[in-house]
Amino acid sequence: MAKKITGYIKLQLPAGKATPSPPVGPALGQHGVNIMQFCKAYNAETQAQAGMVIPVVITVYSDRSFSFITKTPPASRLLLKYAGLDKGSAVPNRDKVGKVTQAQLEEIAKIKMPDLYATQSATAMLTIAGTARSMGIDVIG
Amino acid sequence: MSPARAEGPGVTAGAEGASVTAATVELRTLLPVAALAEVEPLLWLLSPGGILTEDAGCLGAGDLAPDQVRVAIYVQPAEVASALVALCRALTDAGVAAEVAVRAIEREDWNRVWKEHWKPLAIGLHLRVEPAWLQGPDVPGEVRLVIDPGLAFGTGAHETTRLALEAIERLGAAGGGTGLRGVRVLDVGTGSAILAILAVKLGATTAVATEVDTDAIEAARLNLDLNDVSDRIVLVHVDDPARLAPERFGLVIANIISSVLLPLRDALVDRLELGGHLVLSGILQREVGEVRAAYLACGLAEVEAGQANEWASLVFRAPL
Repeated sequence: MAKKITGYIKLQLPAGKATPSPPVGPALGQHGVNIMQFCKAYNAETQAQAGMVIPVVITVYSDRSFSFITKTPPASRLLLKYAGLDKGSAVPNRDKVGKVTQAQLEEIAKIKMPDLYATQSATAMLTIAGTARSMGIDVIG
Repeated sequence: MSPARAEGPGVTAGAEGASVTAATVELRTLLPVAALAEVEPLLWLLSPGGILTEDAGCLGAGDLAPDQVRVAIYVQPAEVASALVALCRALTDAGVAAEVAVRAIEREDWNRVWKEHWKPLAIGLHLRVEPAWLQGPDVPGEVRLVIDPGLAFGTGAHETTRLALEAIERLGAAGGGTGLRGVRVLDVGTGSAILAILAVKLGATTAVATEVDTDAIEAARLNLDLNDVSDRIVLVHVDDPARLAPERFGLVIANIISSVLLPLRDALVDRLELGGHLVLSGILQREVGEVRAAYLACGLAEVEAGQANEWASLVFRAPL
């Protein structure tokens, strides 16, 4: 018999570095989920992507067991990484704070494909170019 | 009390306010989903330990509309003011008129809740792990481990700990139960110290248990007392797990993760006595081949491999 799902918890955590501190502790603890067990599993799953922020959706079951799936890093996070920035522009349409090349956009699109509705790289690139614009990052080349 | 919606971002404090003694302070706000990507980079910058992003499908988020997302970041008490200023500015820049709720989060609150659901566990052939708050009597023929994990890893509930406990139990059972007698143990990344405690309860003379996390050291110390083995296990706080006691041991244990076990190989193998055993756990099934090959390559012999769900353990023996 399938276990009954109590609900979902969504977090964005540093790859390979989840700890029982907030947000993990309070978010999971209040639903009776074993915090350290989650941290260990998440860190093992994401260790290869150190330095990235990896969103995770945790499914909590009625017996307080859990499962989780990790997503690709947010497009904005990938854009910042490729553009070598800490954060985007405060006034994105006026102040451009960085740039990425078409080739980099394609790489980001490739990483993001599993989580995008787009089935073609070109469509995914358009979506990500839109995110870049909203952050004040120019796409060049 | 419902805070008034301001034109720009407003600030509300929780009932207890952002007490300066709080371990962490939470800043929580509600955004249109469309604005999330814009403020996300700042949220990560302010809250490097991670952020909460709740949408209408999440637990306890029944109050959210489908196009809303509740985000929470976590900052140190001393950083509340500067984080608030930065967050409010980012919200204004993103054209979001949201209020920010500030709430102090005490250290123990969240950890206590799951503890209430933790029950004693039977592991291996004769092991019983009991929460410190649910201790039963000694049962003849049973090895009882009393654990309060605090903020440390290692309750026996996780496959990696269970596999390591079972491997240590089998080593102890060798030779009619004398397998660990007289053996000195090194437990690297001890967490709650559960593995070192089992080793000495099964006959090992002493153990050195190292840990990088100070919270875990605190929990481990308590567990040594609970199991009456404080005089036989030395806890060592190390900055780098590779920096190990410069001695050799008959049993070396490391339940960490592959990305740590691989670079630690030489440091761990160097600590093995001739004929000593090495117990590795915390390995994902898909990584077991790589870890096995790395350790076999330095002359160890594989004694056994364990498996539970997606996790694996390996036991090696150093040549005589």
